[in-house]
Amino acid sequence: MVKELDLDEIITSDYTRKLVIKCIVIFVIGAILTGAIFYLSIYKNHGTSYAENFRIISDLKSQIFHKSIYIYLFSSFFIIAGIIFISILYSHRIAGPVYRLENFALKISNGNLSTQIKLRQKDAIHSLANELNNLVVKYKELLIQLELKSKDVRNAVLLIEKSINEASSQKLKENIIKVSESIAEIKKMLYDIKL
Amino acid sequence: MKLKYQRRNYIIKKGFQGRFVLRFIVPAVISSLLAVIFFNMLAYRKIDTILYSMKIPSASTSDIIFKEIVYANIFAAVIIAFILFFVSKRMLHKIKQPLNRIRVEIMKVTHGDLRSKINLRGKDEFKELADNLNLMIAGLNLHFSDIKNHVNNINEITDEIERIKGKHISAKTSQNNTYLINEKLSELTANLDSLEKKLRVFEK
Repeated sequence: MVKELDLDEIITSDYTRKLVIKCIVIFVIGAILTGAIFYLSIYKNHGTSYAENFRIISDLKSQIFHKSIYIYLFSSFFIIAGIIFISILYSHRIAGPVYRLENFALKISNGNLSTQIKLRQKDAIHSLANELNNLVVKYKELLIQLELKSKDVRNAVLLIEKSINEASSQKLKENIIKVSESIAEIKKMLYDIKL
Repeated sequence: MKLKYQRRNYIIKKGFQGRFVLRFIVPAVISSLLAVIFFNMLAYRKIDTILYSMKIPSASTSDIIFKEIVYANIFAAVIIAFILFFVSKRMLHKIKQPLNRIRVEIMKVTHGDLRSKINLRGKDEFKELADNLNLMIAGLNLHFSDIKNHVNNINEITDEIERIKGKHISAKTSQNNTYLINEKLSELTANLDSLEKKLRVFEK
């Protein structure tokens, strides 16, 4: 019975936390730069008279809307580019391993149990790759043991043929028992395999 | 000597990565829009207040609306943090769920259950991975079915040989039994050959 797994093991909480923090940092840096650019773009020193100041403030009112649109559009382009870059990097840490696991699964289905899959340190889903590696090791070891046992069966069959030729009844009986015992061991190895 | 540069392909799964990136772009766009709208609201209110109050501060235009710039950006940063928190949580759940289902089935297969099948829901990610893993499980199932069949055949033939050997026989029928045993041995050897062939199919 497979026990319930802790979901956190598949992808660590670190992964999303770091991604979200990086996106927020990019946005905040973008916002600070936007603010700085906007501050400089609308800068005008105060006038010497009330009428001049009134005119300056009125001009500011008429400029604010389209200047804010242009500047925020301009900075949004860079913010979004930064967020795209970071999210592609992070998505690659899942997509890359998934792609490699797909190919690994195909290799196993074609009978290749000689390799293991290794992911990069920063990749996600290490636990899934480890499970697949465990699967390969288990079936590889089982098949190696089965091959060894089948050799025992082969040797016992050759001895049966020899004892028939030598008309040795006792040896024949012993060798038949050897074959039965080896087959019983093979069956025991295959007992847990449910088809 | 020319150096060989290996270009790393960062876009491997366009669909999955596209959806992933979009989930982060949309909050950024929404927050930027809200920042612009909020800033304009605050700035216009401040300017109107100044114009109608008849008291114009002796400060530069930038200093007059500096606080509004800061408040609007703080507001946008809070909004994006809020949205990203929920978006990332939901996204992580959507990614973890199918991967966890896959992992559970792989563990079952590791424990010997080759009847396992990975079934993902319609909208789940990683269908291709699930398909390839199901192919892998089906392949293992087929091979081990053949292996078990050959082993069972060998077992039955061995039992028959034992039965033939165990029969009380006269001198006349012992030659006949030897012939039968030899026949069974040929059958056994044929099954053993097939079994070994099946075991050798796997590259270890």
